[in-house]
This record gives sequence, C-alpha cells and structure tokens, in this order.
Amino acid sequence: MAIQTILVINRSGGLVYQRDFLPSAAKLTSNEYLILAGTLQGVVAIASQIAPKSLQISAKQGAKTGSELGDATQTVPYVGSLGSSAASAADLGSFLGPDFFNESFTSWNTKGLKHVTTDQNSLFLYQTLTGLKFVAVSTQNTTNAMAVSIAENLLRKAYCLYADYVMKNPFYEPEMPIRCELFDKKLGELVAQL
Amino acid sequence: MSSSTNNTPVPSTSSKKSLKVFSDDIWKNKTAKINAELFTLTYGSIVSQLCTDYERDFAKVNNQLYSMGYNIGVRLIEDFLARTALPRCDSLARTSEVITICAFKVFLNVTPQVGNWSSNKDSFSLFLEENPLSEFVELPMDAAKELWYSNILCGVLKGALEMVQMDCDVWFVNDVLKGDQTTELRIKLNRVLKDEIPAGED
Amino acid sequence: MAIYSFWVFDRHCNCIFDREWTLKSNQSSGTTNSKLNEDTAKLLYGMVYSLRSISQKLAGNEAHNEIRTIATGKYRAHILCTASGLWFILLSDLKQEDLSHVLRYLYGEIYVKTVAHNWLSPIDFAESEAEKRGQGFRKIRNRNFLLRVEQFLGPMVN
Repeated sequence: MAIQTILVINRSGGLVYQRDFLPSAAKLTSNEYLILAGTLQGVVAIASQIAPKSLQISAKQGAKTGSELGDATQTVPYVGSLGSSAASAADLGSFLGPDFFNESFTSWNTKGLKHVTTDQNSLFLYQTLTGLKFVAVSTQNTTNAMAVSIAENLLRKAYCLYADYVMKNPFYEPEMPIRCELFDKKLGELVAQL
Repeated sequence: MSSSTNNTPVPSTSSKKSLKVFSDDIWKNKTAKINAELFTLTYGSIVSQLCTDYERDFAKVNNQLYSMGYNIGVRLIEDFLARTALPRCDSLARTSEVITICAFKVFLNVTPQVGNWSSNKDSFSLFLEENPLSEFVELPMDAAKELWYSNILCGVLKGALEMVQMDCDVWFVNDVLKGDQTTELRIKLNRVLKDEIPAGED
Repeated sequence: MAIYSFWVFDRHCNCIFDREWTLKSNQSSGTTNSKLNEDTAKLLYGMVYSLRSISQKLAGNEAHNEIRTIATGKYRAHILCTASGLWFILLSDLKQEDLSHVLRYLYGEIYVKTVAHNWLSPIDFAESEAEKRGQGFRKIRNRNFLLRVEQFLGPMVN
C-alpha cells in the first residue's frame, strides 16, 4: 500500500496542507484540492446523518458498553516510528524519546466518514476532537480491517507530528496553511518507512 | 479539602483509577523531560520582564500572561489529544478528572485536587498543592495585591477547553504567594459550543 | 451477515427504490419505498455524488475510477454505478468488506430480469421534465422485483 497524498483540513473545512508522495499521482490543481477539502468536510457531516434506522433503534435499546481507554495495547505493524532513529543520540540521552506511540488506539469519530474505496484508490480520514481532519489517499483499494487500522494509525502519527512540529512552532499561525519544513521532512520519513 | 471533593457528581472510582494509571504511563514513558529549574527560571524571567515592560501595572501583566497562556492552550490541546487519544468527556466531572489526573500530570507532573463544585455542577475549583511555576517565588510588596503570578495557567486552560468546544471562564481565586491558605483556580463552564463540535461524534 | 438497507437511484438523481430493515431479528420489518426516507435518500445521493467527483479527480484523465465502498464508524455503504447511470447502494455493518458480488447479482439477475426485460414496466421512471431534474417520486412497484429482492436480501438481514 503506497501513500499517494496526505491532506490536512482545518476545522472550518479549509485545506491547510497537501503533499504528494508519488510522482505518478494524478496532479490536481490547488483549486481542485481546495474543493476536495470542502467536499470532504461536507461529506463527513452527511455520513453521520444517515446512519441506518436499525442501528439507531438498537443503540437506544442496548445500554452503552464502551470500555474506556482501549485495553488492547498491541503494537501496530508496518507503521514507521517517529522521533530520532539514530541510536547514538539515544545513547547519550536525547530528550526526545524514540517513539512514544506504538500501540494502537481507538478512533472516537464513530459516526462520521472514515474510509472510502474506489477502483484505484482508498481514502482514509481521521478526525480529531478539535475538528481537524487528516486524510490519506493510497494507491490500492482495500477494505481489509488491518489495512484500515494501519492507515488510521499512520494518520494518528501524522497528528502527533502536527502537534509537535506545527502547533509547537511558535511562528505558525493557527488555521493557516502549513509551511513548516520540519513537518514536511518528518512526514516524509514517516511515509517512507511504511 | 477532602470534604469538598466528596460532592463531585458520580465519582466513578474505577474509571478514575484507570485514568491515573494511563496518565502515569504517559508521564513516565512518553513524555520528553527537561530540568524543572530551567523551566521555573524561564517562566520567572518572563513574568519579571513583563512587570518591567508594563511599568508595574499588574493588571496588564495579568492580562498579558493570560493571553500568552491562551495562545499556548490552543496549541497544546493538539499535543494532548495526539498523545493521549482520549475521547470527548461526557460530563464536566469527567472533564475535571481529565484535567487534573491526566493533563496536569502529563505536562507539569502535579495532580491538583478538584473541589468546591457549584450546586448546579457548572463550575469547580482546582487546588494546587504544589505549583512548579512558583516554586522559588516571593512576590514583592507592590505586586502582592494584584499580580496573579501563575495566571498563564488560566489562559492555557481557557484556550485548550475552547478548542474542544467548551466555553469556560478560568480565573485564580487564591494564591499561596499572596498569603492565602491554598492556591485555588476556578473553572466555570458557560456553555458547550454544540455547533462547533465536529460532525461524526456521538 | 447484516445489511441495513438497499437503495436504487436512476440517472436523473431520483431514488427509484428503497428498502430499509429496522429489526435485525425480523426479515419483514422496516419500510419499502417509504416517503419518510426521502430526505435520507437525498443525503445518501449527495454523499455518493460528492465522493464520486473526488474519486474521478484523483484518477486524473486516464481511467474510470468508480467508487466502491464508503465506511463510517457505524456502517459501510457498498456502491455499484452502472454505465447506464443507475446506482445500486447497500448499507451493511462493518464486517461486510466487499458486497460487490451481491450488487452485481441485484443488478444483473434481479433488476435486468424483472424491470429491464419486463416490457410492461417503465425503465425510465421520470415522466416529465421536472421529474428528470430530481423531482421524481415514482418508484419500482413491480411485484416480481419486490419479491425477488426480498427473497435474495431477506436472509442477509440478520
């Protein structure tokens, strides 16, 4: 599964980051990407509106049995690690740990759009509690639960990178397009490790 | 203080415990750490510089600290969520637990006590038994009346809560630096910004 | 196996058939061609339409890139778009990873045989200009079609 594109959409539906990872990927104009981001924002909202009635009925009947803080702490395979890969730095005690986020997690976006497949692509979407959306387009269509979980964890790691290299960059203005070289670099490394 | 924590609505001990274990793990294994003195000194130099720059107009210093905190909060929340992947809180009581047991633990390695719930459960206080920001501080005479030395915390909480669609007021009620018995920080929920909650959540 | 609903849209953006099951335990529960589902149908159409336009763009000019599935945290929609402009959509639980063969059967063996091959049934359900612009209300009422859909999909409900 090769990642073709990663997008970040802010909470009002504006595209703040877009990056292609494959030279062969279809080139969209920046305007088309903006429209795409806006459309996805709308679709996420629609998808949550049309949950089947039988689900709504059974949800009302059955008491909520959501276990908190997902007990499963299995390591996610294939998703690259963040942080310094240079072992020498760690020996001397780098203040950045090697990789904090190896166990899988639960996405709390339960009703909204998560995953779309077409003849040629899959599109994965991870929405944070602040309304930020991370989107990955891959070059393979799969509905395999494992692939979906890998993609979700990839996006979650992209979120960690965002929290580190975008939000903690004092010169980044929130809600504005992301132009941070470090974020670019780290994201590139993350995707390359896949 | 323990008597005031008793009126917490639905004190779900088991979920509280698991939250504590979870937070301790994040603090121990997943948090980059630096020297605390350096941090305290950095903050101290900012506050004292602000006092000089605003010609000891402490109301202005309070405001400036608050707005600096706000700008930190709107950013820091992303780090918090990315790090913890916690779900949205279903009640203010849960929010108070997550703030104290998880957020304060992860970022400052302290766990404030929650208490003084208002009768309609829309506001509560955090009691900071220790405050890493003001470890070595003595307020000068002229500042003791007006300056809320750690006011940046209010701003951080305000900004972070706003980003998860909770419109709150946050302010200091007491500070041991001013000779009070406790350091008390009050959080009042005005409303939940329902329209801004991202689509797709329950 | 659990499927929740089945929808057919024609090339004029009209929903020409909908069947929604409301109880897992009962194959005959729920509604068929219900007025109450009109809004849901429009939302579903809008969602698929938007995502289709995205997928076309992502593929560039070279090839078709039809949409196949859409998943949320609660359900999965399986989509079959025919070249003649019909859309067949099935909503299922998340365990169903690919129902394209079911949709193919619904199209090839049920729709074609009971509607397209049936000279007494219209194949274009819009009869006036307004109905061709999304104002359509006519549904497939053909008894054979209804019966065979029920027979085929009913066992998959629970």
